[in-house]
Amino acid sequence: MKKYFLIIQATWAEYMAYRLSFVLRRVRMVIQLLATYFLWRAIFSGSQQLFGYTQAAMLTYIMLASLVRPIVMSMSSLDLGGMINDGTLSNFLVRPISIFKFFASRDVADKVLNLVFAVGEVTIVFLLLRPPLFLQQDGVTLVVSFIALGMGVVLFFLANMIISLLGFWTPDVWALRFLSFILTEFFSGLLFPLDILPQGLFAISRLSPFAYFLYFPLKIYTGGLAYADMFSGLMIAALWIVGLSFVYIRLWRRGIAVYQAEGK
Amino acid sequence: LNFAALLAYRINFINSVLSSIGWGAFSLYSVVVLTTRITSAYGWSRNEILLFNGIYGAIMGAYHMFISVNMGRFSRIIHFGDLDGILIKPIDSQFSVSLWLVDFTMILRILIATSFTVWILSILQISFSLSQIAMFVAFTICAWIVLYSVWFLVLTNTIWHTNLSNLVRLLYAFESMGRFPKEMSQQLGGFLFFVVLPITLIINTPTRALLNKVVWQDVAILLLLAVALGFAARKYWLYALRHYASASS
Repeated sequence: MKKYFLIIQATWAEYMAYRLSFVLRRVRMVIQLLATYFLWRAIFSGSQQLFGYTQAAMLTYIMLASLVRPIVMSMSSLDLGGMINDGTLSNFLVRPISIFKFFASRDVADKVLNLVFAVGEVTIVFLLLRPPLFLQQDGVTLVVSFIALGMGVVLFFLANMIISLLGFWTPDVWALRFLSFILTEFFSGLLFPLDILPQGLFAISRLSPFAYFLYFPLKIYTGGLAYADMFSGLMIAALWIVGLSFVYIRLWRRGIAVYQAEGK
Repeated sequence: LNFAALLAYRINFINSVLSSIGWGAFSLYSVVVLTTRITSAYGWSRNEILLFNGIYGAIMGAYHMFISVNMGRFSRIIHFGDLDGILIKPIDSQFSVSLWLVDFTMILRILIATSFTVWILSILQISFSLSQIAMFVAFTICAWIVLYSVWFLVLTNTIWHTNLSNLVRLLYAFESMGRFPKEMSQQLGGFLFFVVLPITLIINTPTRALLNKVVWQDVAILLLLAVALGFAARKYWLYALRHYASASS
């Protein structure tokens, strides 16, 4: 395990070496939060309740989405596709480390650092704007929302790794990633809770893995789900985790078989 | 050549086309969903807000098609010293780094946004005079100049800080502030509003021309910004080139 802790430390050191890059990334997050916040304030300007949400519940959802986004959607596994394409992966294959755990460690490092900064940013935005917020006080609901969040983290990581593995068969995974990015932006509940979509689209989105990245844990937190719905949601997320794990393992084995270490 | 490069990898081409359609459609559909329960916000009707988004899609789509696709490779060509090859060619370096690539997949996004705009205009039942159309075109050109100059000024800094590859992503984040009426950005207050003002005017000024709601103060600021930022971007690039270290050569 020690080597993976060292990878976490090395990732932090790498981020600190490129401090300005990291700061710019955080600035981008704050801008996106402000844009979404003011959009929702405009939407709620004439009413206290819309789409079945109170203003407090909706603004809580939006603020939490910004806070949780960097935890769930860290992008450190992006590099794997490029490593396959330029042959850098070979350097890792000859080392006594698991590539999955290597990227998982980098992901943990990324999430911890982003979480620390996101808490600070959201606190500052909260103190400046003083939005009405909703505090969940039911212990069971809180625990389930944290479990759902953990599942969202695993799901997103697996999905990202799978897309990166496609680098074994295509010289550029950027377009595929952008497509998944679009679907994630729309169907993860980052911009709005998915249950404000038309019923048909909402039903489809609930069956996709995207809904379990952000929408599902946040919906549980804001108190919009009965225990039975929470349970069925957790089951669907668990099925996706099992399914994507299976796909990941199969793709990795097949990919390594066709890997030609091009470029190195 | 750009089109041939796009078609060289078929799967990537199909993905790019799907991505372009998806981005165009989803970003517009998001706003349609978000505004279903409101009739107005910040003094603008729902359809007018949708019009802002349609025009935003078309103007930004064209910008991404010709300009930002080149800006995306800005830090890379400087970091790896590829700028050397551009500097020795008998062609203006700023022109070359800004307009070398064309992203043809953006055509679809522009088409979606334009169709959406025409649909909203038909709902709003607006009839245009020739002067309105002329103003829309003129303000759109100014908007592109402002947008290009802001991006170019920011990205020129990669001459000194070559590893700032995510500057482009930061600029994309600011861009989204332009898709809504200026009154929304004004909520940011003080310094922050001043920072996003050029981005806000980019979509607001041409859209207001179509809606016959031109604010001449905004027009003056947009024109001033277009001239001043365009001039500053040129001067700053020439100044930065004197400090170019030709990294990998």
